[in-house]
Amino acid sequence: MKKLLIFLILSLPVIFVGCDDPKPILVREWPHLETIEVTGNSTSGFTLHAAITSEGNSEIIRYGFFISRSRTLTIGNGDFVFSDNRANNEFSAQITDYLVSGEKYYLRAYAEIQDHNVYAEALEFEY
Amino acid sequence: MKNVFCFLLFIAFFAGFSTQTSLAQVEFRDGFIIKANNDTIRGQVLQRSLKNRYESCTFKSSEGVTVYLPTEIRGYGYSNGGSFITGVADNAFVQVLVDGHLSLYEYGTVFYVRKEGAVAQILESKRVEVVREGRLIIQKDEAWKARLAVIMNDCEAMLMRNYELKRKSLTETVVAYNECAGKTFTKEENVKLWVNVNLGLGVGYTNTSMGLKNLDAQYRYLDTDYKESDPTLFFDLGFSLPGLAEKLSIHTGFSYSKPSFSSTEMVNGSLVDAYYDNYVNYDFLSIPLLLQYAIPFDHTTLAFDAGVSFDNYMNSSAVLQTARVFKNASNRIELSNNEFAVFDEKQASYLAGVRVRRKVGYFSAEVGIRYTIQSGQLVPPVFLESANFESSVKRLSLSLNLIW
Repeated sequence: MKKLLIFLILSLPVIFVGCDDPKPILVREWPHLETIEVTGNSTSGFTLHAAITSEGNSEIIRYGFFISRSRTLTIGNGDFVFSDNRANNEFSAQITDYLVSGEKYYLRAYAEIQDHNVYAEALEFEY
Repeated sequence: MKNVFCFLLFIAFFAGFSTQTSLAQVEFRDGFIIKANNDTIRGQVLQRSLKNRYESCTFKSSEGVTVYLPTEIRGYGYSNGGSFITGVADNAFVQVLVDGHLSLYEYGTVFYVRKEGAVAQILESKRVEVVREGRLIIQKDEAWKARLAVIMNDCEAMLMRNYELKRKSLTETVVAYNECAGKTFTKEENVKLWVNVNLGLGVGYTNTSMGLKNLDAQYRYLDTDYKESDPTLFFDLGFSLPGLAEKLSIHTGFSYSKPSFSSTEMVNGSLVDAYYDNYVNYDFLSIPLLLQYAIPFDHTTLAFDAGVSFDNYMNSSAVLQTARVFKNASNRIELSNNEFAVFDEKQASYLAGVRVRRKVGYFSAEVGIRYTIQSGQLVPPVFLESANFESSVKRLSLSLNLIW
């Protein structure tokens, strides 16, 4: 009886975890990015956060953020902040003296692959 | 590869169970039979409904399981109360209520009394038609009262006693008579009404089909039919009162699965190619309440069940991921995420199923198929309240369960 209960308790999680095969996100050539949040303050500086929810089939050459004062994505009307701080599927970058007080900004996670530049949906924030 | 791994685990799970032999058998209770030669054999007696207790006795001993008819033994009983004997009613067991100088027996709605050394007298009340003053009257035949009064007429205290043709009243009367007559007697315990509780654990697969229809234009990138098969864990708790109904039982428990659906649509344009990827994910916990009807055969039981389940959608998301791939020199790809629907987390569904159960040692192994229907679990999010669609889910589950 005791052996049975131990067997049962040990078997169930193994079966469940082992067979639980959630359908992976559809894999494209490009990575899928999400702009998560902006943390920090004007004294210590701001940290920009993003996630790579799907790696994609192409190698990511560079990644970071694109900051603009325009909701519309116009490459000449904004600046890139590149990151070298990736932990698992998240990356971040710090900015200190870029932002102007009282201005509204639009932040997009960014990744550069072989043939494309990928921009995530914009996150609006105000300094 | 993963399917092979799951299959092997599945087999190992059941193989492990089938090698265990120490669990109790719940259908049989400790008891005894009295053979024709008055030998008492101790063993276990099958629990039976009221009606079946009079017809036969299924007895399990070290020699195996034997079904005894009233012509084959003198009686049987359960250790925790309730004994039955033959030789009172024709070709039937009767339940002993009082055993002594004057004994009382019950057989359905009919009672028998038997004085030591005498023949048993039946006590029953029939409805009889009587013509009185030219009118036909239907009344109860109370002749049994006179019959009982004659049997007890050697005890003066019993003459004024009022009694009814009911177990409690007759038992008190017969006990009072034996006391009045100064004779020894035993008032027998009644058969205990016991609740059988069965625990079942199983694993299986659930094929979920989620349908969306009457989609608005803004949902034109969704599929109308999503299908997915997922491993599912089943826990079953069954209750039955074999003393009242041998074939009916009530079942509850839970099942858990974690389906994920996806679909994709691509629209080619002269300047931009758009990819629309839809994802629906949730953890699904279902708590059923089922009425089960079981038909036993020699070694196998076929059971049908139907009822409702109370379902919880947890950690749910329904997201449309859009990628717009520009064909101009910028080579840019713009991504966006939008929640296109939300789950109504608490839902009810209707389900029905068939199960085939077979004894494997001290367990029952069961294969079950269950079909569930539900509608309205997906609704447009608040910011799309003007949008509209109808959703429905059908689930077909196949499970292997072990019950004890």
